[in-house]
Amino acid sequence: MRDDISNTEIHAYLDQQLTPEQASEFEERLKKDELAQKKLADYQIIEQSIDGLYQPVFDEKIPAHLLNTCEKKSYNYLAIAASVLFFVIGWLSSAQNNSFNTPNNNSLAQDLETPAIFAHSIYSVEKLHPVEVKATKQEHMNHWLSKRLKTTLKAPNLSKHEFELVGGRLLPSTNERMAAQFMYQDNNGERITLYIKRGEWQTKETAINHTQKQIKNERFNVSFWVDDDLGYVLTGKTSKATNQILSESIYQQMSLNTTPLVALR
Amino acid sequence: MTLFEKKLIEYIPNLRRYAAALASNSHCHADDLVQDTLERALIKNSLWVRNSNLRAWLFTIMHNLFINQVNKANLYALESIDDHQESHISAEDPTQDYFVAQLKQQLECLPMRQKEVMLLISLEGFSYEEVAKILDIPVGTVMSRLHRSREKLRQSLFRENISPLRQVK
Repeated sequence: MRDDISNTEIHAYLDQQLTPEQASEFEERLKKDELAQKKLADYQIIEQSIDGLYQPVFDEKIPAHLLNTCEKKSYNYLAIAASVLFFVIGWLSSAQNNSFNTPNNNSLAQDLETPAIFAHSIYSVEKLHPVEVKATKQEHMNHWLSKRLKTTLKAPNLSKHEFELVGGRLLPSTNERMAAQFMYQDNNGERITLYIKRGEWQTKETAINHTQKQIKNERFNVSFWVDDDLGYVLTGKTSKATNQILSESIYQQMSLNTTPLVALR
Repeated sequence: MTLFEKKLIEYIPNLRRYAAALASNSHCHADDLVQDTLERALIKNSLWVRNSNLRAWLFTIMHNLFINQVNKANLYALESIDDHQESHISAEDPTQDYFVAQLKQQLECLPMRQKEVMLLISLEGFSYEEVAKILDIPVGTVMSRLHRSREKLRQSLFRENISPLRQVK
């Protein structure tokens, strides 16, 4: 029986590249080799730590744009050429009206983002009546807003991120549609609003877009996205990073909560 | 959706994890690398032999794309740490946190060729033969690179009198 354990053997054992017989023979010899024991133990810690380091990426929800890439059925060069063409057209038209921050289409900016930010600027500063229905009547509020928007709507819980629900309200919006606004507040009194509107969006699913908007000398960080027929806008003076975390949390909670009750129109 | 597309989606988390680890100290964005890999795979769909190892094939594509990008810009000589990568470190246990931060830094200091071998084995659990095929190098080279990278990490992480860490800007 050989005595010295080679480095190659230690790695092969760690990486389960040995046959069961080789592995048990290795374990026997390992008992007499303290240096090899130490090396193996160290390598194991490193392995586990590397796994731990990148596990969060593995567990993340797959970004929509990557899923979309795989779901394009007739993937060919024509499609690529077409998408390039659309991009150029989109870029040219958006460059004209100076809204390059809002990719894909104008209706997202006009019919979702703008009314949401406006509603935020109106109600988030309101002292007496920031909301129509207070968080204490949350169940009633969810039921009511769901009924009016003809979808299943549930105010997401952001307590984990230190934002408590203040309440919600129903709002008129563009294209003869309604929208729901949920308001949240943190310990410092900082308020954020989540604006949700059902509509016929050109894109059924977008990535979470981040942008900054200025209204009356006040800067807001805005995140907006579309998931199926619901458009979402999160507005606040919170940092972009906070907005991103909150948006992802909302996105995940809402994708579990909402199922349209009735077809649009 | 075709079977091929379904299988592709199945491996996206694997590709994203590897890309995040691989691209952490270069200027190319991990998800862009994944996107490019998926697009290339869809175009070259016919080159994939049915029932052969799709996962290894995808990693081969990703490796080639990454190498091309690195060669093009000689990116990996540059050092930068993405902001969002930092958020993966949990702040709950300070000693663990320190170890993980150190590990992350040491990983980024590894030569790219060694790092690739180690990540394919550590994160993806590929066999040495599979890694040799993916990277198009002899199995012996896989083993020597693996040892060199692991030993480098071990030396820097477990030395008794650890010298103070170089500060990352």
